[in-house]
Amino acid sequence: MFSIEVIIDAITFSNLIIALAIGLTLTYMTLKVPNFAHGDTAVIGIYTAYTLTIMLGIHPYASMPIAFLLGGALSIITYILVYRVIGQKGGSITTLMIASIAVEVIIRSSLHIYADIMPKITSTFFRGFTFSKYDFSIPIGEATLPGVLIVSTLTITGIVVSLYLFLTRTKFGTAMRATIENPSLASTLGVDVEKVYLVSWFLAGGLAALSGIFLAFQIPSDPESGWGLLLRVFAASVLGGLDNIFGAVLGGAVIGFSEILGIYLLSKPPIGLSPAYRPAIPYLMFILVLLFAPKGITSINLKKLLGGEEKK
Amino acid sequence: MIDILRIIVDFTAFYSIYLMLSVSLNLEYGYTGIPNFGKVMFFAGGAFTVGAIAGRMLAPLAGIDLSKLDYCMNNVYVGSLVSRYLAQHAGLALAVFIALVIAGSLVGAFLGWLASYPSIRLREDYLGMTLVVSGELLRIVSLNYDPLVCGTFGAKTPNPFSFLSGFAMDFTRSAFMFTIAMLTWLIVGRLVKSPFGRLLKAIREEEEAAEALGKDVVKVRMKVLMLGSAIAGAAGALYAFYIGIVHPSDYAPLRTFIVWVMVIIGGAGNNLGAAVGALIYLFVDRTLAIAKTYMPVLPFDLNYLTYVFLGIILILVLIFKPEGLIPESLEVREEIREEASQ
Amino acid sequence: MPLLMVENLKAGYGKLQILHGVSLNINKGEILSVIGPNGSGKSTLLKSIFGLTTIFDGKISFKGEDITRKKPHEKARMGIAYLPQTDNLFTKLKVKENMLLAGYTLSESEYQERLKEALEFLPQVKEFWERKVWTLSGGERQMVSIAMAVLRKPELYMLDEPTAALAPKIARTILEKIVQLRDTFGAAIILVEQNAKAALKISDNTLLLVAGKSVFQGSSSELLQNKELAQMYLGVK
Repeated sequence: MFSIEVIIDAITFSNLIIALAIGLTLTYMTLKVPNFAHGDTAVIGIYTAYTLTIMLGIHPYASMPIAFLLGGALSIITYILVYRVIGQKGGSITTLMIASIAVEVIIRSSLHIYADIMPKITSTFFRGFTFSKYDFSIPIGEATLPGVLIVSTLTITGIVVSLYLFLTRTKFGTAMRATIENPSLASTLGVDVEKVYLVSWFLAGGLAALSGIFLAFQIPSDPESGWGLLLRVFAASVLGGLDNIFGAVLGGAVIGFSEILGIYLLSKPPIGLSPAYRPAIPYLMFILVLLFAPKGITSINLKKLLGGEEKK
Repeated sequence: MIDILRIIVDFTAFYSIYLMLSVSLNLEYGYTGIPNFGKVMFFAGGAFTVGAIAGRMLAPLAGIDLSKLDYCMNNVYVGSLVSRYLAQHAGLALAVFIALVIAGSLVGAFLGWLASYPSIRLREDYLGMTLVVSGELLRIVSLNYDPLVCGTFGAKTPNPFSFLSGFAMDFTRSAFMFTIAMLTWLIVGRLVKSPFGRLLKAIREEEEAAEALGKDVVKVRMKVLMLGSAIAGAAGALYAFYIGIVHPSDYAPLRTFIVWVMVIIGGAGNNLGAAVGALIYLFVDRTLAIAKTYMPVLPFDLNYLTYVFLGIILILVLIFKPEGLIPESLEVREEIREEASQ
Repeated sequence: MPLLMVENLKAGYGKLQILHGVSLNINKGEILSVIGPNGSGKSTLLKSIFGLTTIFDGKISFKGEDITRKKPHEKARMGIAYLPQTDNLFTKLKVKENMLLAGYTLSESEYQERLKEALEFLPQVKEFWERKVWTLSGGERQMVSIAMAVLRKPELYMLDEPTAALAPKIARTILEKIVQLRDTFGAAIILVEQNAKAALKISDNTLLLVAGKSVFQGSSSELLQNKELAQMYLGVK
């Protein structure tokens, strides 16, 4: 029913959404605020890699660590300068969301300015570029596996596994989960809550910027790419319940696959829908999730499997 | 002289539109606490109503057979013929104008009802996200579904004031728009001072307490979102007529952001604040637009820099003056809190 | 010198004052029950001592040191354990993870040593060691939260209605454990209890709060002898 190319596309795209949903969920769990600038942080990663490729000839994959650090740093800076300050002044969740939208507009507009100026310096396009010509590929039988499939799958798997080990097997990881559930109790036990938040925001931003690079291997990118990504990540995270990392992994996979496989099926006869409707699939799913499972997929499973009700 | 008058008239038209948007968001967020991050969707709903109906409906009257030509490919041509026809029929033109503004507000209200359906019971973060996503969904559909507003072509809207010309036309049009906006502002101003307005604030302050008083909070919030969206829809219809073309990409989320800037800077929960916020924003925006023509060529689009500054200003206001320039009366706030907590 | 001394404490939340002058003393190895009608400020008193409210006036000293303005985590480190009525455990975490967090500031060897002690004191906790807290019953949860406190070896325990919503039999077990806390570790315990009679039975001293003021502090038998107070607040005829 699906060609190998479509499946490859779906896996690669899901990897990206999963990585972003993990980060969004992580920061949501700390402040209970959806970070509207999360998609733009991914685009920061793309532009970091692109700039390094154009100016210094560094391969986009080699830029991943730098993008990670930069995205993490930016995320921490916005947390310290904006969200923490407003939170300490008793700002409501809505106030924090407005601030988050403001941060989003600032980052996106700054990227636009950057994309306006850079071509004059480098004589290269800074909008609508892709990394596909830098990618490698591995032929297997009749199919060719693109490098981004392999690299992104390995990277995301590695991140999910190490995050799992970090959160469940280390003392600080346990403290992070504890702080997310009940910050005041954690602080009375001597946990440095502030440090936990900083680490969460750093990881979220770093992960976003790093995985953003994968997007540019698949589709042309520009400063607006982050906004479209963000809404898909909202869908994935809400589907995952917004209260645990592993829900985010599941939500990311469901949204990523539905979008790619869904538009593939819908654009073929007899329906023949224009592929331009592609983003409508995750957006519609977001609304359906709110209607039928507002607490996310994992909440349904848990109750049924364990027969218990989670108390708050 | 006429130049300055033209600037003022143009300013008034834009101000009318933004005043309505700002008043509606203030009603939703400032008074009721609904974080409407999808304002642009309802604005677009009104504009799309005009874009989708006006040209197609009036074309036969202007002697055009739409079954013989592709409306979207020829809609600019059709639009100008319709405008020429309306120039001869002033009464009909004004009736169409009023009817479509009302239709726009009804579509806005319907979209408000639709959007509130899955989400109004949810917490404000989920509600905020839902409204953003719904707005984008509408934009994607409108960009690709030609029977609405001709997708990426855009749909030309006829000019209902074409029976006049030159400055007289601009002046009359702005006067109409300003009257509608002022009426909206006054009506909302009375509404929020009424017992219903106090109920809204009680809901914002203490949702559970208001519920305990026997008020159906969900229903009230739905009503407010519908009313706010009706106002935004009317503003969208006015905008569509004023600009003369409806293009889906014009209804991007940045518009929502701008309305939030107005409400937060002006002072949420204060009807005068909404009016002042819109005035300040528009003054800055128009001044920059005029200044841009006199400035040396920058290596980037000045609009982006404006957005960066607006974002920074918004954050600074949220941190240092979260109540805005014209704060909500504190006494009323305290009273409401006390009533609600009893 | 008493272990903890509270003098004329006035405190509340924001502008709202709830405590209008509370004084109390507690020594090592003593159980002090705080009783009083609903809304008299019992829970607020514990929160205020631990630094979770706004203090308007008064003085709190612990081991002779003024701790009135100290932050909760500083007080925790000085040896005060506060067990709120609810939210005293991480429900999404396993019991063993909760214990690990109780010993968050300890070194690994210190933690193992204390853990052994705590589990000797409350061996039941081992039975649900690997379970997530939200799957535990109310009594089991209370055991875990006491074990977490024991692990930190505090000199003063402040327990806010530890038997609330528990079946009578389990409530008795918990109260027995509280007595053992005093006898085994020589700890001082401030106990807020809805069930005044049960509390009086196990406590050395009693503090009676009415409308945010301390009206009586003395031995529990003295309170029972005071006909007027006993009748009004304990239902003794």
